[in-house]
Amino acid sequence: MLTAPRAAALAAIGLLFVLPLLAALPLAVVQGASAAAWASLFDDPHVSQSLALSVRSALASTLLSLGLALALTTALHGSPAWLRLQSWLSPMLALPHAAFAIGLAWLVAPSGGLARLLAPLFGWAFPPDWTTVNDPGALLLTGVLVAKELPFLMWSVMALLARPEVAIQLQRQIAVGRTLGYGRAALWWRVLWPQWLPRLAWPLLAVLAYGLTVVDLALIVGPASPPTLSMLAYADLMAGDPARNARGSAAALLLAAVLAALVIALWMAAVLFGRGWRRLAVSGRRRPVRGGSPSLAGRFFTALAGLYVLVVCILLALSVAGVWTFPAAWPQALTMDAWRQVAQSAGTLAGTAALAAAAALLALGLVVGWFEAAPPRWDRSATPLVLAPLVLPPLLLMAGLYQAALALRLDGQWAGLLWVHVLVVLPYVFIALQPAWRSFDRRYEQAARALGRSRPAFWWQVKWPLLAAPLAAAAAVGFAVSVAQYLATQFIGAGRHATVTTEAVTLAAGGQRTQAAAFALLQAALPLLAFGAAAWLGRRRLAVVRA
Amino acid sequence: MTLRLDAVSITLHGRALVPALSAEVQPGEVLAVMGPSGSGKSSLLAWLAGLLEPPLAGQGRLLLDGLDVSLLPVERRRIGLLFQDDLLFPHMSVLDNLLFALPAGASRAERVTEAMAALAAAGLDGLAQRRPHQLSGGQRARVSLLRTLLARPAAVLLDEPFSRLDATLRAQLRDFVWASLRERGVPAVLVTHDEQDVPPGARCLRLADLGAGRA
Amino acid sequence: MTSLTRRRLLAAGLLLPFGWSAGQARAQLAHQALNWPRTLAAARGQTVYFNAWAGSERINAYLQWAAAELLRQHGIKLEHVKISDTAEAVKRVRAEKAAGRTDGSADLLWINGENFLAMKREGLLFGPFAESLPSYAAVDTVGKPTTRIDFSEPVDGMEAPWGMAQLTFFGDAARVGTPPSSVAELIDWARRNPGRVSYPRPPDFLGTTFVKQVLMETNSERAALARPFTPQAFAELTPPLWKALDTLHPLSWRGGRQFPASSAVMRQMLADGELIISLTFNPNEAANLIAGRTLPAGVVSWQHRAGTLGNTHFLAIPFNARAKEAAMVAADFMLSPAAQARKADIRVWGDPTVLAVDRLPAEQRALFAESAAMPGSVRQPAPVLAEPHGSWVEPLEREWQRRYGG
Repeated sequence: MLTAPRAAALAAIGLLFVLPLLAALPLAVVQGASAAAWASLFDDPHVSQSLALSVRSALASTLLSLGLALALTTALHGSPAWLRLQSWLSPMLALPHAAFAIGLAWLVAPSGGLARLLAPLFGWAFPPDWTTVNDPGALLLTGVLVAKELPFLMWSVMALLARPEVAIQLQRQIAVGRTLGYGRAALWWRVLWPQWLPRLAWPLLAVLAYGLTVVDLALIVGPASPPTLSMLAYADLMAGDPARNARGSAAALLLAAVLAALVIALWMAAVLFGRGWRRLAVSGRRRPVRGGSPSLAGRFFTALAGLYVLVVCILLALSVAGVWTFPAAWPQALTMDAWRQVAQSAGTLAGTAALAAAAALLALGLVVGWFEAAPPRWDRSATPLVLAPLVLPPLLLMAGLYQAALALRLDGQWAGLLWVHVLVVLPYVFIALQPAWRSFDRRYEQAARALGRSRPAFWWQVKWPLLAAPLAAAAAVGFAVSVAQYLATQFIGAGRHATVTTEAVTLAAGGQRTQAAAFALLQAALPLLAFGAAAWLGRRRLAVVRA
Repeated sequence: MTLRLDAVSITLHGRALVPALSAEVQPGEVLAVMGPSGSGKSSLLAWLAGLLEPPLAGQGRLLLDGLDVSLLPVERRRIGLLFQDDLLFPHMSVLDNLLFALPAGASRAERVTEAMAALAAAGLDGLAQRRPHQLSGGQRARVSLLRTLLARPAAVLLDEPFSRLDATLRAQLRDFVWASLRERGVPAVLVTHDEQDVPPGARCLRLADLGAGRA
Repeated sequence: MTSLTRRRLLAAGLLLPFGWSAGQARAQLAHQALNWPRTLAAARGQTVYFNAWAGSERINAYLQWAAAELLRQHGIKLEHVKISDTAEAVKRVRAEKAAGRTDGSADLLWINGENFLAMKREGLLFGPFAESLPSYAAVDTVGKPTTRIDFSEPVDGMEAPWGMAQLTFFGDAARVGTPPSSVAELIDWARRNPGRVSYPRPPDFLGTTFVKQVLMETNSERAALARPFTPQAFAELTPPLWKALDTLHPLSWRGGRQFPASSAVMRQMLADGELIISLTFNPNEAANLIAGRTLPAGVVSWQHRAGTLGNTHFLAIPFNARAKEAAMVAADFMLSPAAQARKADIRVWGDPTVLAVDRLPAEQRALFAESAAMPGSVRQPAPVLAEPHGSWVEPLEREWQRRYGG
């Protein structure tokens, strides 16, 4: 059973992924383990407020985007709008969080787009006294999180519903339920979602973890006094003082613990709520069939897509705007400085793309190797480990990995950087590829073997062509994730390797909105190209897969 | 309830698949529709249920006790549908599956009593809290029928409901199904390709004989 | 070569009265003096990884020019490692030392203040080297004492001065009216224009400096500030500071409940019109931004009449730099009149020079063409106030956080 190639594949995965992860965690935890660090953390009078802000924004955004995703699916599934929704998701996912936040922040700022639109109406000569960006209640942060997480959850839902066994069940159960007298919407809420919501657990966990530990979004639109706990941890970890670093590690560990507590609390709430829901679901009440929802849902999604388009337009405008005082509707001076600088950093662009492509392909190889070589038992128990990088606070993880890289003399080396990117990218590739791999009909292989084909031949000629679309999509996802990495590149790259994202963040930190907007657009263009290439690769095979 | 098909025809891309047929099914009786695969019998059933999708289309009228239900949406027709797969909701217990089908109105206690009684009558008592995957194929098929019947349908459609079962189970289930339908006085339309599935005395429509189906 | 040696000895002679242990200084300098030509030779072909804050593309462009010049003149490759905060590099060097790495990721750092303090105390720096650089001779150590005392900590040659910084205010002339030239006037101005002034939230460096400025201006007896922090001195000197801030905050942006995250954010808010007065460390920043068309032409800069806090920013070499010789040559180049003049040019960067311009030979002095008349630059420069002792920073920040951080 454990043949040489299999053993080799598993060993590679163990060495390149499992070991470093297991090594990084203790290294990271040790940093935050001193009593002094925790004492100084709780000494700070604003820590409880910061924690409350983090929890509120993460929980609210997760639940809100989940509710919206379920409602949109319920209303639009099966209608032509569903396919349109699907085509909009890739570009929405590809726009990096930071870029979206920059554009949206400008839109709602007191001196921004909305205010300038209203200025003639109200006769404002100076920006009004709005508290929108960096509002102390983290409302804008929650809104941005919802706007970015909703497409991700929709993508997860679509991936789930696209699985053959799920799709068939869906059609049949809806048919049966309708003959039992229930409307489509009622069936979704009473029969379908209770079945499949547990399968969305990992994406939901990823969303919650992201909301809790997000740093770059909080920097741009989040509250400032006090900031969210993740911001505090980041500032402390970035400071030069080792005592503050330790306090930052403690704060990051606190966030991890809070995440675990939230997960347990949500799970318990789901169980309790589920019971009550079940009783309601089988009460027999058939609500009248309503026809209004689809158009409302459709309009909502159109509005969201429109918002994305608006944000991109704003970024384009910002990237060429020189002096642009309130309340002018158009910049007083245009400048091509930002784009000139982008042109000069063609080398950085190429480097970013090369690193991302290498990381995506390597991660893809490891994941495919795992799927092919791992015994099913290992597979099931390995899922938590694979998904760990998604859930752990990135600051902790990166700090630990940096220590490991230092010891191995890989810091500042392209090889070390590639290795860390593969680590970060792998969970996403895994999630993206798993449904397709799991549902691949084993009988194809049996048929091929019966026809006398060897295993490798089967792979090359049958399996991988059939799976080309999911493979390409997973590679595109990995590519996008690698491009968006900041902490990984900065920590392990030791500043030697600049990517488009590190440029964008340092420019944004320096307040150069024009340059930041230009680089944000560049940052968005790369994954978009990758997704486009993946879609092109996938479309050719669609006829075969559909059969 | 009497079920009547009035000049019902099914077309595929405009070409006739099932020519106009008319038939009447008395309460408790079964109309068997037979034919080779591709002859359109499942499409006919789908049209009767209200689930037919383009490029298939149907014409004609479907009358339940004189009322034309072919214009009503699926949810309002009160026509039950039994597939080859039991399609019990896997996340609900057997009892919950049955409760789901029962109409509202009575208190929960009353509904539970009715569901349990139905289970007992079918020889399935003790299985109320089990999940579908914990039942045998035959048990699942019986629960599925109970679920269909507890919704008080005006008519029942059966799409090759016995084809997944082995010979002995088939025989047991067949008897159970016909007995239940007769007991409740529900007309049924059965689609099958197995002669043995047809209950004695049932009217048979063979689609291939009617000429326009593809062989 | 001989002229260099003579200049070296001259420089040594100038520096001797300044309190170094004479024997050590002479030995050190003599050692260095003999090695400069060898340093130049060894530096040829090396690559210097210069970790410098990269938030301004004008600074980045200047560094690109410097890199080209270094390559042309000395065959050294200068790589600008873009970081968003010096602390990143400090942490890296510290971690490398803890891991026992003698080949570091950074060769040259742009640094000052508490980062320098930390690095010097923890032995993370290479040196002393600064005062033996040939270009150091022209540094104005008398008129600009902060080139040798960084936050009340003696530099001891562990970092080479690079540019001058002084707290400066700037704003749109039309909306500011008469620029307030003291904290008291600023409060009065804020009363007439509520919600249009603010400062970055400490522990941002600029924000802390503003707080220190208010501390200086509200205390006529400042001697204790130059000495290390003591709780008694803190209790004595800070009440007027908090009183002034308590008066100012309700009149400032968002009622003082919120503060901008950094000076960069403030600059953007000024450009957008949300703020009327902003602050900076570079007296020529406004002029530089006007020249780059990111600020409207009506912006003016000013400093408080009695003086504002000023300091120097430096270049340092980590203890484990791989290209120490090239780093020293690069630092020397950055100190050269040509490089300093271009840096001080408002159209390029506008960062004031550390050199004593009037003591330079005529043709080099001409490089520093007076650009004070450019729109946006400070019309009436004010005296530079010396920073309080570095140990005051943390207690001030902590107390500020406690009072206003929530």
